[in-house]
Amino acid sequence: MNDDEEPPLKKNKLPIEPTLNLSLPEDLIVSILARVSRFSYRNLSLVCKRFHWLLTSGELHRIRSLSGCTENCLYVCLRFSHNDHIPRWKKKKKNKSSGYVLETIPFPHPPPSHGWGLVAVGSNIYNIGGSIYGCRSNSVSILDCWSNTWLKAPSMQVDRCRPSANFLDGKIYVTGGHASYKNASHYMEVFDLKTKTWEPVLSSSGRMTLYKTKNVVVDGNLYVVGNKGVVYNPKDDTWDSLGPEMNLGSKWFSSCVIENVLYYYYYEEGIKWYDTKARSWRSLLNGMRKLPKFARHANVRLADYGGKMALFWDKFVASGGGRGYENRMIWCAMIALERSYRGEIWGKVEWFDAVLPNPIPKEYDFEYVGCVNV
Amino acid sequence: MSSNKIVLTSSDGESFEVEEVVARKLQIVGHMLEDDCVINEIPLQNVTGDILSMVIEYCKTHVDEEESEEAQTKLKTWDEEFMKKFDIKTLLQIILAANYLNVKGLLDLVSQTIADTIKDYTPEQIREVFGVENDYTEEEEAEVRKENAWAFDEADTPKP
Repeated sequence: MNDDEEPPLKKNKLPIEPTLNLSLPEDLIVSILARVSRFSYRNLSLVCKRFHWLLTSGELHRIRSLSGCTENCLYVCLRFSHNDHIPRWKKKKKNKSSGYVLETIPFPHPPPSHGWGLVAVGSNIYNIGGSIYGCRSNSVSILDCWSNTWLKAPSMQVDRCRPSANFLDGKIYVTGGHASYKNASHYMEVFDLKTKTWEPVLSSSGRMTLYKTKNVVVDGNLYVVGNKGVVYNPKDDTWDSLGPEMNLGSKWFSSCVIENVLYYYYYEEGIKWYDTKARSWRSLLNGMRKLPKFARHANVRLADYGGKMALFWDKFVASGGGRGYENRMIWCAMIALERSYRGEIWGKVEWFDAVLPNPIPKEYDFEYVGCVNV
Repeated sequence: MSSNKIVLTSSDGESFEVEEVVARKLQIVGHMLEDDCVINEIPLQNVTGDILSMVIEYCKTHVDEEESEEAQTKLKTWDEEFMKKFDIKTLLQIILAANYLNVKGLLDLVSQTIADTIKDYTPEQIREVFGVENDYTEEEEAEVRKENAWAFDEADTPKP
């Protein structure tokens, strides 16, 4: 901080010790920085302007992706009340005691909507449709999780609020959330990341009569569930109905897919997974041992964290002053998953703790929990 | 042909006789050999003998990279142990040498080792390692801190 009139990227300064006169060429600095965990960027960006510039440059991200140095990072989006138009984006970081906390992401201007369909693709989160001041929207934006900035993407053909979106073979499939039940071409559309275009997906059998849907991808198939369920295989463009065991109702909201296995959480049942061969649900063994008992009305979300299960839930906390339980604390557990030779899946709670420093309003809801690769 | 010996000479005049397959791991040498196959003594201007000997040790170990998982694990363990021998100054010299001699595997390995070493360093320590000076004004530094506020410990950020 001594010399303000110095040019920012001057390289050939005399180091303090002559033995340290090793000023590395830029490509070597980049090669090193690309391999440092993003959790250390604070100190690195304070080193000098050149470092700061490099750390925010797309080039570093490109090298990280090329050399397989990217890290998994969980993103959580919360809405504090039904009228809250400000989505609260948080991301998970490691803290000193090898645990994790959620920290707020400093967006200059998050889109002023809610009810998006959100889906992570690589280092981006696609933000699809939603409701802007009560109106359905067809707009699509992309959260670039490397630079924490919003980018514009081509709009959908149909306005949708609370659609469900998933990524499969280079395409994003979006279902539901539309206004008209009559037009079959409105149920589902697909975005091709290569051509950057939206197209409707037509169900030949006319089985897609779903409005409120949730979709998940298992084994290359898109499971679309709502009042009726269908399985769509985009490769051979085939449709099939889902068995009655897939009639999960609200349990779908806590579902997630980890390494091609579909899981859900439900208060009375704990965590279950779907055995595609037996077409039945099985319990995750040992998965919630060590965890405190969840409240019946706790919001619970599951997410894939690089093959492990991130389990989010909440606990009511007393507000003090006799006002009862007006707030909740968000908790998270990290559960390692292992398949036994007998085909069971065992869970092992590796860590759990509260992940936000302060309680939040009890009316809050999860808009999104997901993992990106940055 | 493969038992051919090649002499590599460092900037400070130290000579190393190595097998051609080992020397070819240095891509700079590989290119020279392609241009003219009768060379058997190669001067390497930008690397000193002590550093060159370490690069050669790496290349000898990695000379026949086997595909098997067992061999890979063994190599990885060796890499880790090998890297433990060096302090940060030596690592910087090795990365420069690996870059000049064009040894891709070693370059990746040293980059990762340096990255792991500096990850818990303070900004001042990192500056010392890379021989750079703090060129921020106080205002600019405050701005960068603010920008990175999300990366700070909870105690540093104001409570809402």
